Amino acid sequence: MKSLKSAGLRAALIAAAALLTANAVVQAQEKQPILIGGTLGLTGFLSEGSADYKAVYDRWNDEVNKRGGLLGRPVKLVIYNDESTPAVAQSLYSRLLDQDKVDLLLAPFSTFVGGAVLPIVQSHNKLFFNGGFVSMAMFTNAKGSMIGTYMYQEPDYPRGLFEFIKSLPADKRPKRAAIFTYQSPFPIVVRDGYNGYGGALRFVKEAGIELVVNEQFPANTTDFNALVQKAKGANADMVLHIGQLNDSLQVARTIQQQDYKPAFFCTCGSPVTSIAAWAKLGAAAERAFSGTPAWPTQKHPGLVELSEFFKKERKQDTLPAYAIVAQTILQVIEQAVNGAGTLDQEKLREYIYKSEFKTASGNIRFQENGTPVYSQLLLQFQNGKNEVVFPAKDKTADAILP
Amino acid sequence: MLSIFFVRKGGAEDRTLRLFGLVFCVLGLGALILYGAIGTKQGILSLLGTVFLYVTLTQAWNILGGYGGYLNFGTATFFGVGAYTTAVLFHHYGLSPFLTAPIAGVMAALLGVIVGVPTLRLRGAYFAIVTMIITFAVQIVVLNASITQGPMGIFLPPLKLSPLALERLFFFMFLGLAVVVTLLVYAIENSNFGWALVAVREDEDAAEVIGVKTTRIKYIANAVATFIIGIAGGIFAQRIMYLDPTTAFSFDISLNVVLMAVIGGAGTWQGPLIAAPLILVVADMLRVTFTSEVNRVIFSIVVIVIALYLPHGAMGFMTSLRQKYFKWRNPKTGDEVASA
Repeated sequence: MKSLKSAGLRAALIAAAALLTANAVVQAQEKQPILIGGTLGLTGFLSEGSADYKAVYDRWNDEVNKRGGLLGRPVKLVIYNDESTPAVAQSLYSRLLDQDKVDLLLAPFSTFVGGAVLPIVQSHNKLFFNGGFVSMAMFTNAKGSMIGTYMYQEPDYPRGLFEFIKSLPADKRPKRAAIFTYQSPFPIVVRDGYNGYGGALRFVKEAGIELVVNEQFPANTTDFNALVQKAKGANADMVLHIGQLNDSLQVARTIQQQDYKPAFFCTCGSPVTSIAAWAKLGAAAERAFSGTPAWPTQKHPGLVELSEFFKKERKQDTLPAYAIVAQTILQVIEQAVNGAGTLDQEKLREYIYKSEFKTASGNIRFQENGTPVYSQLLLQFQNGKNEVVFPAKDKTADAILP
Repeated sequence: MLSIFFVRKGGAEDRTLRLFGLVFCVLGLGALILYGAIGTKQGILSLLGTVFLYVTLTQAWNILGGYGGYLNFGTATFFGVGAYTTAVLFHHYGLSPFLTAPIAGVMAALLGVIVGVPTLRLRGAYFAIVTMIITFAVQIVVLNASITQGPMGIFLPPLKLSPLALERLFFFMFLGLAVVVTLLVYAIENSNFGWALVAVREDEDAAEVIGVKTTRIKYIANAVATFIIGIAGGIFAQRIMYLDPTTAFSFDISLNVVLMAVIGGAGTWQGPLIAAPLILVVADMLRVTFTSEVNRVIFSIVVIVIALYLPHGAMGFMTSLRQKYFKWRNPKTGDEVASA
């Protein structure tokens, strides 16, 4: 009897110890940080835009942990520097997926790098949270596994400008257009459109504007005198520059140096008028148009705070468009994980496609290819700052036209 | 164990060291094959795949650049042509890059011959500059050609394999290529062809006078090297799955290859085996632990130090150690053995 009692006691003790151990293991696992990984071109030609992304990522990481993390677990961002180089990014995404074993994956900045990374991500059946680049072709190819927060894709980049032009009286509209295109996949689609939809060439034609210059330039071009001279010589009253950051700055500078005054000058590739370097151009920056997915005056969730953060911490008076897109993807991740209550990729995907997200870019829903419904504001740089000039409901100032 | 790096020719003691070296190489290769077969860390398999790719490229560069003394900054040209050959053949005819890699080699070699005829008459800095310019010229052609899809680049479909199997496949493909090319370079180093190249490097005019057909030797060396680089590029296209002119013709490729040859010791078959893993593994570790840009600073300093104090790279340093070792072991005959 005694031995039976002692055997029963021993068994109960062992069971209790096993339970405690199992519980401790589960708790330890639950408290392990959720890893969210990605890369940015923190050095190289994409470093300026990447720095904006990094600032937003770091800020969100602090804030989400202050709010208790995701699913009760702390969040850790693992962001590597891909050196603005596709091959490096490929190797780093392999590391993120296979060695770091991240729970969620953020896309790199720019289509140039993203295109090389997508096949790797797809081969691992992971959702790709993409606040970093646009590409109709890649979204189509990803079949819904890539969730994007750019509010418009390449073929629609110049759309805001042309909708604005359409709203002008006939005598104010441009007559002759010059297009300069950076030789890279993203700008080419901005110019040519995708599968017969959109693109600067089509918008120009539909607006009845004569195309007088249509030139491409390779990467690392630093002298734009010949291109600008050609547009000036052809009397183009509209210049559409479809490029990246540095070349856009160079073109603006060259236009001013040549005392060329097109009525419409749009940086219709990257949204460069909202980056810090644009304001430093001085007079050369004035009257340039650019698109943006949202603007702080719209007071979307988190947008004003983000703008204040950039003013105080980054000493940037203007909120970069990249920062808005980056903030939006993080808001989508946070709301999706908390809403679905899981990190399971299939369940997250299901939740994302049936939900609406309140973000810095507005209330958004995702279409079946993973992109949000089109929405764009047109900015014009006036007297040292960006003003929303179109659409009328969001306008902060009238456009300045000659 | 590292005796392989000290050995060239000599007596009984030398033969023993050579045997040790052979055993070391066989064991090292065996360990790599074993890891490739059972290793599951895809990041490491991927990194090693890149190391083998660069061993291949640097060995190929070595043939004309190391033994022949022609400083060539054009590796990216032939690598890009090889990569685009397989990508274009896939895009237009659906042919697998694994089948068309030899065609990539032939195309690169053909371009090598066409470019080599005028450029290999140049010497020193002129040759180096011309090879650099050719890369940019070919890149611009590819950027504007419709057959290559211009700046849009070419997507290749992912192979229907698991990510781990995919890494293993390229690990073994590049390992195989690196082994074959290293054996080839070893054979060249110990052949009349290799000595003729060294003669060109040391004094081209004198080599010509003593009967070396310098022009023919250079053309052959260039064709062989570009053929190998083209094949490597052809396989790389399938590995990267998306090819664009900026990546395929990146000057970084040419620069890395020269850096590896200089650090390891140009004109030795062991040099690329030392420098490629050293540079790529250190760069990868720095990239994920500290910052990427430090890589370039560190390797720039290393190159400056090597140029100042070790003009023959790591292999030169090891050779001088070997000489000291023999001198210490056998003060009377050490010099003779060491210099053999």
